[in-house]
Amino acid sequence: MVISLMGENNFSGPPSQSDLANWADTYGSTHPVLADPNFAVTARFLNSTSIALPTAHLLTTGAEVVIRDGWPGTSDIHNALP
Amino acid sequence: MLRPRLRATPVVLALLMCAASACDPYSRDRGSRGGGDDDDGAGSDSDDDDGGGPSWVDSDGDGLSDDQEENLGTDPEDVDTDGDGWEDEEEVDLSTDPLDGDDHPYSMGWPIDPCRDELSVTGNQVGQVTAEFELLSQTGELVRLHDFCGRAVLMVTAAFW
Repeated sequence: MVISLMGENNFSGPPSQSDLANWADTYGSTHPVLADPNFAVTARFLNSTSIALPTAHLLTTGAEVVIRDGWPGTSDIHNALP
Repeated sequence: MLRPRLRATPVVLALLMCAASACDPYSRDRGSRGGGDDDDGAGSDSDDDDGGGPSWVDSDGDGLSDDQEENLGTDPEDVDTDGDGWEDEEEVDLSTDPLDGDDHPYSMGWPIDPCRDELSVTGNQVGQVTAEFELLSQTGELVRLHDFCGRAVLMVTAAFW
């Protein structure tokens, strides 16, 4: 399952539904594209007070954290699969 | 509203099972719906004239028996007890609450795993169970992270700029 967390729109404001829908349409995304205003959810997983975008976080079953604020490789993803 | 086309699957499976063995109209579970469609000429799914197993009564034809609906607390004479546009059987099959109009399957067909309300949050470090979130999606629906508790989740954070 892939989720995109969008922290800001083009004007550095909180993403609206239309922002999310336009982005999903542009890139043909059918997975959840979610607004994460002010990167509040993303902040849970950051290893510092700054954000380098894009960044990724991997969970295994049961919402258990596997990788925080990194970029999982193929083997990481395979290992996280049930 | 877009809906995942999942309802035909149990019907097909039931037909295949019937092809492989004698069909007992009283032993079926989900998949046969509607009154009078059991081809026994009796005109109702509630007949129990074989003297054998339990009767199947599905007053609203939603695929859940009246007995099942009684156990669930849903209305056996209303296919959509909570009025959210999703039939009771669909909600049971897709792990949402047929009694809560605000809880229903996602319009894009994203999965909802049965474990979603069973997680014990421990933290956000590696090896810990992270907390729930509920965020606005491109469909306008709120999406809950724990709905995907039965699978691996790759979350990618970005911005539009």
